[in-house]
Amino acid sequence: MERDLFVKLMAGHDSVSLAGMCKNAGKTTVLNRLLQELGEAQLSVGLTSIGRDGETVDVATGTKKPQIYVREGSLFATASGLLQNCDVTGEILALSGMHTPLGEVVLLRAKSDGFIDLAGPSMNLQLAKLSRWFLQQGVDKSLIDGAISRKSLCSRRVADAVILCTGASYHRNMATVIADTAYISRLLQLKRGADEKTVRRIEQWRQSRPQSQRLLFVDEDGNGKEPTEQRLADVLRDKQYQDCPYLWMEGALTDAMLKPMLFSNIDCKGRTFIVEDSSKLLLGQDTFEKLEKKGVHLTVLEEICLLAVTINPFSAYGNHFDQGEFLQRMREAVSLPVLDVLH
Amino acid sequence: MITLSLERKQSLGFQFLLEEMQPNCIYGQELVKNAAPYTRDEGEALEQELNRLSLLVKGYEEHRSFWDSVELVLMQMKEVRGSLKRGAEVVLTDLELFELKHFLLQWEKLFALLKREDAVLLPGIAIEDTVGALDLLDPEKRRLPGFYIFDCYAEDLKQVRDEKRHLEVVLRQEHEEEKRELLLRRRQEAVGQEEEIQQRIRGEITEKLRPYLAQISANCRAVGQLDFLLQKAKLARVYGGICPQLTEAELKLAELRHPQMEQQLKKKDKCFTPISFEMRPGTSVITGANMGGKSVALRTLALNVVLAQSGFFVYAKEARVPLFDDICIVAEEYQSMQNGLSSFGGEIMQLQHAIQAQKQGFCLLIFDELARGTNPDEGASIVRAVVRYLKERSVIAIFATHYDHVAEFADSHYQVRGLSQVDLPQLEQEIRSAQGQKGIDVIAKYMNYGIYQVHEKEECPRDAIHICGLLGLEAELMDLILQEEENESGLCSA
Repeated sequence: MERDLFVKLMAGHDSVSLAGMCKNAGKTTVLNRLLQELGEAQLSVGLTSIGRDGETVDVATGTKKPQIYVREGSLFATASGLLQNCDVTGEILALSGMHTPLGEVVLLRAKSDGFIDLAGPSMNLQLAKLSRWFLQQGVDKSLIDGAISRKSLCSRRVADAVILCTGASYHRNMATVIADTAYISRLLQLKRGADEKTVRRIEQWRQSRPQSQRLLFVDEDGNGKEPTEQRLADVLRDKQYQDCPYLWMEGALTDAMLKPMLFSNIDCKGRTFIVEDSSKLLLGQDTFEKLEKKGVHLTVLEEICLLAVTINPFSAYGNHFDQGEFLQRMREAVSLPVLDVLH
Repeated sequence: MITLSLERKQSLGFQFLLEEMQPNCIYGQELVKNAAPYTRDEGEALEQELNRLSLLVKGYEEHRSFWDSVELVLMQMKEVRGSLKRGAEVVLTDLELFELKHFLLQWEKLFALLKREDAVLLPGIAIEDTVGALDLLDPEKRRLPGFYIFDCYAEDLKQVRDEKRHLEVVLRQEHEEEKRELLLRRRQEAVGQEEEIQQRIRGEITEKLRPYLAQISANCRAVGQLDFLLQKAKLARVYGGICPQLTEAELKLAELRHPQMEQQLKKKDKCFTPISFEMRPGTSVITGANMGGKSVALRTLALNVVLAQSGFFVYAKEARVPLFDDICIVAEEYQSMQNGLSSFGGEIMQLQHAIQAQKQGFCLLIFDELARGTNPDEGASIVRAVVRYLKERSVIAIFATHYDHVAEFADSHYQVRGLSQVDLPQLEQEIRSAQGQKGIDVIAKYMNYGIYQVHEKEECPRDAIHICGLLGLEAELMDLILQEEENESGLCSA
C-alpha cells in the first residue's frame, strides 16, 4: 500500500469520519494509519469520537489500553474521565460544556507524541461544533472516530467524507460480509438527485414545515404540494400528484413505511424520493432493491463522500478469511478503493 | 431569621422578580436563588447593601459600557469552590488546576476593572489581589488559558520530557515491528517517570496555592455579590424602584406597586392602582367591598417590605421601612390544603405561629380575611380577639376583614374606596349594554382600588349586595336577599 494513500484520498475534505460495520473491523488500525500518514505529510489533526468506542480492553492482558497514537501538536477532545488513560503530555485548552457519562468533554493539545483514549459527545450537533472548533484552531484535518453501528452512519452534518471499515468479524460467511458492505457503501454513495429549483423549494418548506407534515411533492417547475395524507401508498396513488416527479420525505425512511407501497400495483416509475442524507435510510437491502425495481430513484439532499472501504481479514472470533480472496472479491463488489488494513 | 418557602415567594410575587433576574455566573445564581430578608441584627449590612445598590443604580447609565464589560467577565466565571475545598486537603488534578487558572485569569481582568481609577467603587465588597496564585499556574506569565504541568516547573521534568521526545522522534521513523516494540517499551518507562514528576509538582503547586485559598473563596463571594447587585440594579431600573429608608419602627409606603400584578393587568389593558400605607406599631384594619382589592393591597405591602428587608429597591414613591424579626402572613392558601389540613385548620396553625413569633421580637403580621371560612359570628369573635390581643404589643399588624366591629378595636382603620363614589345607575346601564359575563370586567373598571384612612367610626360598606345586583343575579333571589338584609338590620337595631 502506498505510504500516502489516505492523504491523497482525503485531499479536498476538511473533515473525515470513520464508520465501522462491526467491532474489530480494524477501525483503530485505520485511524492510526491515517494519523501516521498525515503526520508524515506534515498535516495537523483534530480528533474526537462519537461517544465511547467499546474496544479498549486488551483481550490478552485484560487491562485497559488506549490505542490511538497521536503526534505532538494534535488537538483532541475527550471526556474528563478518560484523561488518566492518555499518556500523551496534554495541555488542557478549554472545557466544551458538553457532558457525557464519562464526564465533560475537554479540549486538549498534545504537547508530545503519545496514546490517547477518546470519548466524545454522541449528538451530531455537538460533534459538528467540535469539528468546527478544530478547524478554527487551524488544524488541517478534523477526524471523527465513528460508532460501530450501521444505523448511525455518519451524517453529512458531522463530516464531509467517510471511510467505511469492515472485516471478517462481521460474519463468518465471506459472501455475507461482502454483500452487506457493498449495500452499505451504496447507501453512502447515494447522490443528490434533484435540480436547484427543487432543492430550494424543499429547503424553504423545511423551515416552516407544520409538525405533522412529513411529505412534500415538488413538480417540474419547482412548485410544492403538501399532501394531506401521510401514508406513502395513498399519496402515490393520488392523481393530483401525478405531475410531481419529486417526493421529499422528512426524517427517517423505514421498511415499514415502504412495504404497503411496494406490495401494491402503484406505478412509481420515474419518481424521485429525496431524504436528508444516508443516515436517514433505515432500510433492509431487500426493500432497497425492491424500490429500485419499482423504478424509484432514491436520492439525498446532502451527499456524503465515501472515500474508501477498508477490510480486515482477521476475525476476533477465529474464522479468518483468505486475505487475497477477500480483497479481490470486495473490489469486485464495491466501486471504490478497497484497502487491506494489514498491508 | 425569616425563612421564605418557594410557595411563599411565589404567592408574594417575590419569585416573579427573582426569575426576572439573569445572573451571569453560578455565584450570582445562588444568591438570587437564596434571596431572603436580612435579620434585624444585620441592619448595618443591609444598610450597606442598599447604599451600594443606590450607587450602582445612580451611576449605571453613565457607566453602562463599564458594567457591560464587568458582566462579560462575570459570565466567564465558573464554579471552583469544589476545587478550593479539595485543594485544602488533597493534591489537585490538572483539570482542577486548569479551572482554577481560568477563574484566576478572569479574576485578574475583573480586579483590574474594579480597581480602575474612574471605576464606581462599591463599598464593603472586599476584593483581594490573587496574582501570586495565578503566577503559580502561569509560570511563563503568558496569561493564556491553557494549562499543563509546564516544562519550566522543574529541571528533571524537562529532562525526562526531552528524553521521551527523542524516543518519539526515533519511533516515528522506525517501521520494524521488533524495534518499535522496544522503543515503545522505553517510551513507556519515560512516561512513568514523567507522571511521577508531574504528580510531585501538582503536590508542590497545590501546597503553594493553599495560602491563597481563603482569598480566592472570598473573591468567589465578591463575584456573587457583584453579580447579584447588578441584577438588582437592572430590576430597579426596569420596574422603577426606589431605595427604602430604614427606620426604627415607622412604616410608611407611598404609592406602592406590585410588578407582577401590574404586568398581569397591563396584558388586559388595565392599570394597577398604587396603594399608600402609613403605620406605627399597633394594629390596623382594612375594610372594604368584595372585589375591592384588599388581598392585593396586603400582598403589595408584604412584597415591598420583604424586598426592602432583602436589600432590594421597593416599588413606591416613598418608602420608610423598619426591620422586622419576622414577617408572618396568615391567609387561606393552597399550601394548607396540600398538607392535609382544612383551610380553617391551616389558618389557625399560621395564626399560632404568628402569635409565637411576635413573642420573640418585632413582627409584621398580615391577616388576610382571618377566619373567613367559618361561621360569621364565631369568625368575627376570633378576629376581634386577635386584634385586641395584639394591641400594645411589639408588632405592626394589619387585618383585612369583612366583619363588623373589628375596626373599633384597632389603632387605625383603612377603607377601600370600592364603589362608594360611583354613579350606580350609570354603572348598571353600562353593564346592561355590555351583556353577560363582561359584567365582572365593567365592575372591575369602576372599582376604585385605592385605600384611605378612616378617622371616624364607620360601618363596613354594603357593596356585596350591590355587586350581586350588578352582576344580574336572579331577580327572585335578589328580592329574598334584600328582605333578609332588612330583617337583619331590624334585628340589630332591635
